[in-house]
Amino acid sequence: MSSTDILSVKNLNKYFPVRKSVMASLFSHRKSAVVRAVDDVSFTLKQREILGFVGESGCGKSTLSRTILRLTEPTGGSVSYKDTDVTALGKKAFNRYRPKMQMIFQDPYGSLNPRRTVADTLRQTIKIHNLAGGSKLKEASLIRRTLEEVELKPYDQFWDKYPALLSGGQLQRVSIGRVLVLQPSFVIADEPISMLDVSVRIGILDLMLRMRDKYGISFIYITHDLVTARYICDRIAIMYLGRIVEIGPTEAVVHHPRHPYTQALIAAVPDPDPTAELADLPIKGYVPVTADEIQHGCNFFPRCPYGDRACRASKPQPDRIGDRHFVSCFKIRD
Amino acid sequence: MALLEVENLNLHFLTRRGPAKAVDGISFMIEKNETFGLIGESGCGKTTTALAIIRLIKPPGRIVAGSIRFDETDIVNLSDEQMRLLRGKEIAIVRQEAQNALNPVMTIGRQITEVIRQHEAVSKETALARARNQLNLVGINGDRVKAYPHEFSGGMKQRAMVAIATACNPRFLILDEPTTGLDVIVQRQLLALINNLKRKLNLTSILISHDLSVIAETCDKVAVMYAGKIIEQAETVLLYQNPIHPYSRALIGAFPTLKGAKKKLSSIPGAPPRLIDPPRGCRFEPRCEHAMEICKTVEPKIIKENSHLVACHLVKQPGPKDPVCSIGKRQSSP
Repeated sequence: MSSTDILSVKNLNKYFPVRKSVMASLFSHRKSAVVRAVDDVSFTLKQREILGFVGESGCGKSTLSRTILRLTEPTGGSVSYKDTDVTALGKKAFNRYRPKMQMIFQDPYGSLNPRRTVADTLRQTIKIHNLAGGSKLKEASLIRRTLEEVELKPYDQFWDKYPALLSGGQLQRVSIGRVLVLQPSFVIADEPISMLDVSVRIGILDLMLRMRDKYGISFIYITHDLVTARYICDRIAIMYLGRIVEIGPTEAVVHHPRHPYTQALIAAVPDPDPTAELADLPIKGYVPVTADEIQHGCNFFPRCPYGDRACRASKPQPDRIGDRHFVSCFKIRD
Repeated sequence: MALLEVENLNLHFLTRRGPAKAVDGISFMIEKNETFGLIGESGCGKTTTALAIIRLIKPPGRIVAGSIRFDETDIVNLSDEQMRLLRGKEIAIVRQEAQNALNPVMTIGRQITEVIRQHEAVSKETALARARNQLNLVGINGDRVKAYPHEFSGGMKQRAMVAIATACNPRFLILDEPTTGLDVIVQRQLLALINNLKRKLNLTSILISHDLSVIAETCDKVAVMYAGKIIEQAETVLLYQNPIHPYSRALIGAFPTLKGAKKKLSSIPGAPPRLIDPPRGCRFEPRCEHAMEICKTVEPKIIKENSHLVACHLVKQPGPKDPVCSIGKRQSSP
């Protein structure tokens, strides 16, 4: 791991058991099934880097973010923050690292307490992590600075407001402020704009970019929307059924996708240019719910137009095909 | 010939603090076999307009003025009984969030036959056979008529909604954010399906969305709504290539793309006005970077400019004696 790496994730797994009915467990001798929500995921995140995780719903991107922050415990693998393996730490010891690793959630209406004013929400965070040392004055100036930082200006107009009085964009700014006050090293933003109006989305993304430029915060941006990922990410990872199928610099992934799934995903993005022709989708079918048929082979095999026997026999490992650009596929296409 | 003509529609929600003007004097017409797009931020009145067309507005919402002529009949004045004959038979709707729109305790087949038997005197068996056909038509195996909604994935539920809506071969289909919440690949499959059905069944439709690119790929004409008003309307290609109203321009400017070079985008500052006491002049004035003195006090009229219809003071407004162009019947006659 190089010195500028903030986060290093190695072979991370998260399996969920599939519950069987009582009768089935009595009469069947098969080992109980699991859903591999996160399956052997490895990547590193540099300082000041924004890494996007893009995939369809159910591909495990949210589970990945929760597993990194140990909001659910991983089944296997390791997550290292700087040089510490945080998966090996006890709960108490890990709490010291929590302020450095933060998260912004998808639903700003649900993630803020409706009975707390904006200032109270921030005050809560300051108190829990003892950022003001008990000084009321320091507390107030910290809240004021944070509100100005996330552009809720003039700050006294928002101080005593309850979440019900704010728009989605403003609420998401409060969420970002709540994270920012802790001076984190990296933040996982899980679909931070998917519930917001089109006209305010870019404002939130720009705020994230500014936090990166000003404080050197790294971001993991989780989204199903390749278009906004392209807008803010330095690198993009494409996920399919728990695995990273392609990861590389944004422009390389967007303009020269090599994995058949990435190619399909890009072809499916609607084009805002009404004169453009609809490209044909190269893949068919739907994402399977359980992964029985793909236990040994490539996860994408059942939908892949190029798959053959090799793809059914074993799982492809990441191949380096360019500068920091890796693709897991036996049939890498140009 | 126009199949649907909305003229000066006013729809208010009566609240204790006064009427909220959710739809405030909008007019448009939709020709046969045309797909008309309605785009705007949440709360701009686009869904309310859709529900008004199929007369599903519940109190405290009320149509206070204007007319909706469907095939020469003004449906605003129809009795509930007459409306029921039309609804599902002539005008059908695919609502957003199929998750909530489908009945969870009724099989899909039953939900399709219910519509058929409501409007046509056919036996249960015939209706069920047609339900199978409907499912096949939308790409679901007809044998799944006995399935309940929870057995379907999000994309399949949305397809089932389309199957229900088209069960009686309606002439007019309302698509209210049909792909919101779906993944891009599923979204693409659904849009392709809708485009196919439109051709097969000679459907005229209105598509409501906040997503510019979805509208660009499907619609012939677009109207941009803001705070209960249509502020610009034109053919899709014209509107995208040369938007006139500052709001349309900002909306298109706030939308990132996958193709071409990465460009800096800007969001629109502020939030839409409250509909209980909207600004006296132009509703977009508080957020508009080109706002002038006159915009604060005088509401701009909608006028024709380079084959767009646009309501903005930047475009020369007609004098008191000039005829005012409205988007009603007059414009259609040569």
